[in-house]
Amino acid sequence: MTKYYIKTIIIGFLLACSLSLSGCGKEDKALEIKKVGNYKVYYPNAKETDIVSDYVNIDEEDTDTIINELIIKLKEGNYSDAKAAVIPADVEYATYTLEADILTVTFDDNYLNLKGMKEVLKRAAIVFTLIQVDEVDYVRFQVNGKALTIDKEEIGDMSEDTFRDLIGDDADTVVDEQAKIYYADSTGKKLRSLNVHIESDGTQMKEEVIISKIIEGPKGTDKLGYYRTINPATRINRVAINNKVCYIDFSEDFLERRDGVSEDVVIYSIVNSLTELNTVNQVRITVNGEVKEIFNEYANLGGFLERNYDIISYGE
Amino acid sequence: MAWFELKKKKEIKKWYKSIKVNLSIVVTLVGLVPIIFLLLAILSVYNSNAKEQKLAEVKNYAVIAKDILAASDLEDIDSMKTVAQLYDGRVIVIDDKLKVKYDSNMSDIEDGKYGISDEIIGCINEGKEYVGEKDKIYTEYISPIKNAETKDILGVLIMTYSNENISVISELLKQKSIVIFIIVIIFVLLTAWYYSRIISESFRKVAKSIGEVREGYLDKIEPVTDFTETMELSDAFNDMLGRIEQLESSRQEFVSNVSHELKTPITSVKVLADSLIAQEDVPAELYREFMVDISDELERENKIINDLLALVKLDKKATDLNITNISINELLEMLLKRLRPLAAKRNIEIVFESFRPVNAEVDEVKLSLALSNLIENAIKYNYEDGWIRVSLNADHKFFYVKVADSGVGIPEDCQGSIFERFYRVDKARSRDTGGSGLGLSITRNVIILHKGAIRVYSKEKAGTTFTIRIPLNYIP
Repeated sequence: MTKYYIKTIIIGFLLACSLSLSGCGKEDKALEIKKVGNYKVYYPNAKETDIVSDYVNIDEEDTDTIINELIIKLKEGNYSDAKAAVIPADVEYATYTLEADILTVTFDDNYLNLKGMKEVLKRAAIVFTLIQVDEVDYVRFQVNGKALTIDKEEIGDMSEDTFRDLIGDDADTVVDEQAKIYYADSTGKKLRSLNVHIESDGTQMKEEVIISKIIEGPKGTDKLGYYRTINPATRINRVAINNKVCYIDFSEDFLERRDGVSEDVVIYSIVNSLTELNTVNQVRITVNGEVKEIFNEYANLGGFLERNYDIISYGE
Repeated sequence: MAWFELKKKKEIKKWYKSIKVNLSIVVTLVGLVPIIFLLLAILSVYNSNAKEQKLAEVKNYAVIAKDILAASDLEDIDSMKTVAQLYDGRVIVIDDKLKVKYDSNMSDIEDGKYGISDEIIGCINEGKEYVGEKDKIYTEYISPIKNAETKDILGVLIMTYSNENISVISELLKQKSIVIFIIVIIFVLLTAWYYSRIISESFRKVAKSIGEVREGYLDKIEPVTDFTETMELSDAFNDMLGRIEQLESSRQEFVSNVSHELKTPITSVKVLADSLIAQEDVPAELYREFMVDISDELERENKIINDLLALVKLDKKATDLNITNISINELLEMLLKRLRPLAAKRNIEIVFESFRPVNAEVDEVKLSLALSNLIENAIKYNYEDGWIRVSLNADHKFFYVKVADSGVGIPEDCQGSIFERFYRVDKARSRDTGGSGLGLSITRNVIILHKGAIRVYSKEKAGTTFTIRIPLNYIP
């Protein structure tokens, strides 16, 4: 009898698997259908709680034509998740000029009828939509020849970064740049700087992201000649900035003896990398809340640590 | 299935039916299952409690921060820096137009950033609070900043903090739990196995002792004192051995009794025959006299043998009773008809009292034998001119037969033994009256076969009363 039970369970399991897989397949198909279109039109959803988009097909090469088409779509309305047009009906015209990578859009007075969150949402939708165009990196709004002013503040150049989703696992990236990070060279006694791409959605401070990169060590195939400095098992307990001093509290793994690199290299890979930022002039390191004056009997760890120029190797 | 496979199957069955295995498994489960539950419970309670506690702490900070912001119309940003550092998390302040007024993690915040997400917008529109998890280690707490009097929503406060130390401690707890669990498993398994072996060994010892008794090495088994139950088992077995011995000795006694009883008449006959042979010129009357004696002795021998046969037959537990529904009145009438002449020889009167007609399911032949023995005894052990009263009565379950006589009676100290085989109160007396000494044994056996009972009441020189009770309906 046990044989039959086992058989039933296995068959049932396989059935369940195949069902879920087929469900997946169906989903992919659905996505594929929607992907008809090379551009998106962004708009606030019907409840006005978020920005969503529809796909549109614009089969043009000329930038001006594309921009015009997009503006028409923004004026049309009747999107799949909302009725109202992004550019309200009472705004009679929207003209634009494109200079270098800045697109300046001009609206008439009636734009100023939009207020508060509603205005911000529509503005974001317009910016997202127009920024898709290759040549456009920034968007400027003007009303009747003057820069758009809200609550006595001039609204400056806007890019994708201006409007961010700050909440949840898929929050927008707010830090996306190259940072100079110092790793050990082949001798283990000097530091070499490396340009590393850092990205963050803001949940961690930029300084913390950089320290994490140091802990991770140099990555990638063209990182030959760069070596890890700090113990990769180290955990960051806390990072805080005050008056351009970066306070870092590490776990006790930080104190572990590192083969092949000197203690100074370990310490200053952190200090030098952080002082590259204009927010940090000095670094103060503690281990599990305690100040350790000497690091493994060789180096000075207490006090305010500043950039060490001597330890940097400039050779290749 | 091949014989070999069958044998293996039997061995496996034996193995998993053993006390050792069963007890081990049960004890192990009893030891482990509660531990598993306990550890899981501790882990989950810790996790949820710790997180809740942290959230409560953060909400407290939020209250203070929001008051500061509300009072300063969202302008007092410097205090937010302190709040962020104090509670060790990220603080974002957003106004009612979605503009980011402050973000503690963006130290070089450029002007004019906006935060757009439905949690933020929902909070501004409806004042909805929101608590969510992010990247599995962070918790986001979003709450509205309200003007103290008007309750207008001025903006949104977002506080994001890490639960990593809770996760770290949780992981640590989990790992420690696993270690503890493994240690406990090993310990419980070993203990269970060891202890169940001890118990099953005890029983093995008893079985082994019994085997030795069977082989004949021992008379009694050594009590296995490990456990009360094995002691009880040993004692019960020894008691049974004692009973068997007793039965054995009473059997031996019976055999020797029988031999003795059978030999006695034979010896008398031989003596009589030898004396006849020894004498010369024996007159014919003497021959005749001796022949009569010899005939009497042979008659006696015959009776003894018959009684013995009857008794042995009744002894067998699987004796078949020939149950028929008959009138007990008639049965007794017939018996008395046959026995009255015998009683009359010594001028003994037999009175039959019947209170009602009684019909019962009995074995006619055997019951007649039993009752006949009682009445014959009443005649034998009676004085001249004595009397015998036989009475028959019944209720709705049983019928009762009483045989009372005015005879010599039975001494009190002998009354317990009268049903034993070959037992005679006065050996000399009984030889004269004849009989085999088996009558009462036979009677008692028949009564027992009918699931009845027999009682005796007697006073020396006054008389004896036997009372028999038998169920009306035979229940096998």
